[in-house]
Amino acid sequence: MTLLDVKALKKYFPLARGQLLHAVEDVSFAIKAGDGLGLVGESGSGKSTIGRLLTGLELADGGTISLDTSTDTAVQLVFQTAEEALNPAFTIERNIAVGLGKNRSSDPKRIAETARSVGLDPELLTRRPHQISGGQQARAGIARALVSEPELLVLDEPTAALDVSVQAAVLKLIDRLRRERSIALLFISHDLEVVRLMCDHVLVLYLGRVAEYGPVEQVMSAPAHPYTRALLSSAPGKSNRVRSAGEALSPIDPPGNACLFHNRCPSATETCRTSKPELITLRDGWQAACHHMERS
Amino acid sequence: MNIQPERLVELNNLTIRFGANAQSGNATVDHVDFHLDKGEFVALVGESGSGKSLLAHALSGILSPAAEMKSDRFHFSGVDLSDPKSNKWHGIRGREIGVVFQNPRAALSPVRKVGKQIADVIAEHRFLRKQALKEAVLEALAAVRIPDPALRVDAYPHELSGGMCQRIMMAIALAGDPALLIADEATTGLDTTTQAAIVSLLRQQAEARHMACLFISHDLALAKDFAHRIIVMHAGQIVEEASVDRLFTSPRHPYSAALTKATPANAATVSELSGIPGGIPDLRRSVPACRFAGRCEFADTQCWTERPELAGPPDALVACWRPLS
Repeated sequence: MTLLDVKALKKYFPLARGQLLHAVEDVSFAIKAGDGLGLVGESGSGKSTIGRLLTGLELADGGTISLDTSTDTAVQLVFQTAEEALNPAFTIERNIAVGLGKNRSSDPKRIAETARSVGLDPELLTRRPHQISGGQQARAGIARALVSEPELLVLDEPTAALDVSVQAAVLKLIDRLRRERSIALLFISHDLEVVRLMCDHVLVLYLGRVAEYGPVEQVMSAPAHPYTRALLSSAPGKSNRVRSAGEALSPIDPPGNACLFHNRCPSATETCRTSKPELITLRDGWQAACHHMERS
Repeated sequence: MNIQPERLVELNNLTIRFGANAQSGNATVDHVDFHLDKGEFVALVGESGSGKSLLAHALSGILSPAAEMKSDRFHFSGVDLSDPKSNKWHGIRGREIGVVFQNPRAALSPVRKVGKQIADVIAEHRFLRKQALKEAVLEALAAVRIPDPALRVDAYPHELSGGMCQRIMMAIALAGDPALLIADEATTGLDTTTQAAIVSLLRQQAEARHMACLFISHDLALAKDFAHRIIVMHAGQIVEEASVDRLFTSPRHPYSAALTKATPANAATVSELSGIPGGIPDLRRSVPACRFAGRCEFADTQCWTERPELAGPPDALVACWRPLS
C-alpha cells in the first residue's frame, strides 16, 4: 500500500535581480507503509527542502504530494539539532507535548509512555533541553515526533551532530520503533552507510534533480549514475576512489538543457552539456538519469 | 633519553587542569605522552570531550589561559616549549606549527578579501615587496588547488563554498612552511566528496613538504585512511596507541573495539551496530582510576582503583588491565 506519493515536486527560491534558485526540480518518489527511503546528496542538493515540503514547512511551487491517511499528524519531522527541535524555555515534557498538536490538551500518561519507549528516563521530563546530554536531546526530539503516532517520520540528518557511540544507539532506536509501529521513514542523510543500514530504497539527488533511485542494496553495490559512484567512493575507508573534480554548478538559474553533473563527471561528453538526461528505468523500481549508463 | 634525529615533537607527562574540576582534582588531560617524527602522519580519535582538541591546543601553543598546563618535557625540533608563555613560541606558533580548524568560515574574517588574508600571513613570515607578495598569494592559492586563483583572490569568504574556505585556511596554515600541520576536525561538516578532496590535498601537500601531520577526528574511517599511527583518547587519557593496521584488525582496548563496533561502515545490519553505554564521565565528580571502567563490560575492582599505564610494544601500546587478545 502506497502511503506517500510524490509527483514532479518543484521548489524555487526567488533571489535578488529576478534570479531563481532551483532547489527541487521534478522529483518523484513513493513510500509504502512501513518502508524506509533514504534521501542522499551533498549540501545544496535539495534533500532538506524536500523534507520541509513534505511536512508543510515550505509550500511547493509545483507537483503533488498525496498522503494516504485520515489524520492530520501522520507526518512528523525529526530535526538534526536540539536547537531546531526543542524549545529551550520548555521542559522536556512540554516539548514532547508540542508534538500532540495545538488541538489536544496535554496527556501526561502518553508523554511518559513515549519517553520510556525512546529510552528517556521519566525523571528527565522536568528538565530543560540544556540540562540533558546530546543523545538524550536526540531522543527527546524523536519522542516529540512520535507522540502523535505518525505513519511517516521525516528524519533530517538525525544523527549528524552525534558521536558515533551515541549515533549507534539512536539508529538502533529508530529502527526498533519503525519495526514495532510499522512507521515509514524518509531518512535524509549525507552518510550513505547510515542509509544502507536504515533504508530499503534510496534516492540520490544532485542539485535538486534525481540522479538515481532504487533499492538500496542494488544502488550501493552497482551504482548506475557516475555521481552515485563518486559519492560512494568518496566515503572514507574506500581504497578505489573515483575523483569528482571541481565544484558543483550553481543552483541559481542552472542550464535547463544539460546534465548538471557534466562539469565534474569523468565520462561527460558534448551530449551531456547540451541535453538533459531523463530518468531511465533500468530494472523494476530502479531508475537513473545519465546519457552514458552503458559506457560508464 | 636523547631525542632521535628524526623526532619532531617530544611531550612527556602532559597534564592540563581547569579550575572547574578543582574539587575533584581530576585533570582534563591526564598524564599524556606524545611524540611525532618528522613527516609522520598521526591521527587522534575519540568522542567529543575526550581531550583531543585540548592536546592540539597545547601542542600549538594556543591553550586557553584558564588552563593550567604541566609537563615533564615538551620539545619541538629540540626547542624547549614547556612554558606556554615562553618567547621561544614566537617563530614556532603559526609558522613551524600550522593549524586548520573545523569551521573555516568562523576562522576567516568575513569583511576581508581572502587574498588579503593570505597576504597578511605570508607578510608575517617573509619580507616581500608588493608584486612578489601578490605572486606568493597566487602561488599559495594554486598550491591548495583553488581553480582560477587570479579571480578568487578578490573573493570574500561568503562568496566561496565551505570546501573552498577550508582550502584558504590550508593556504594560510601552509604559508609559514610548517614542519607540523594540525588538522582539528578540519573536514567535519563538509560533504564526503569535498572531504575526500581536502584529505587528499592535505596528504599531497604534507608529502611534498615532508611535513608531519596530526589529524584529529571523531571519524575512525577517515583517520584510518589518513594516518600511519592512531592514538585513541577517552576522557583525557590515551587508552591505546597503535599502527593503523593493528588498531583496526585487532584493537586491544575495549574502548577502541567499541568505537569500531559503533561505526556504521563496519556493520552489515542495524542489529550488528552497538552503541557505547553511558558517556564520557563528568570530571567534576570523582571518576574511576581507568576512566572507561564505568562503561566497560570487562571492568573489575582493579580498574576502579588502579590506573593502568600505557604499555606494550611501540606499535601496540594499550592502557588497560583487561586488554582484548
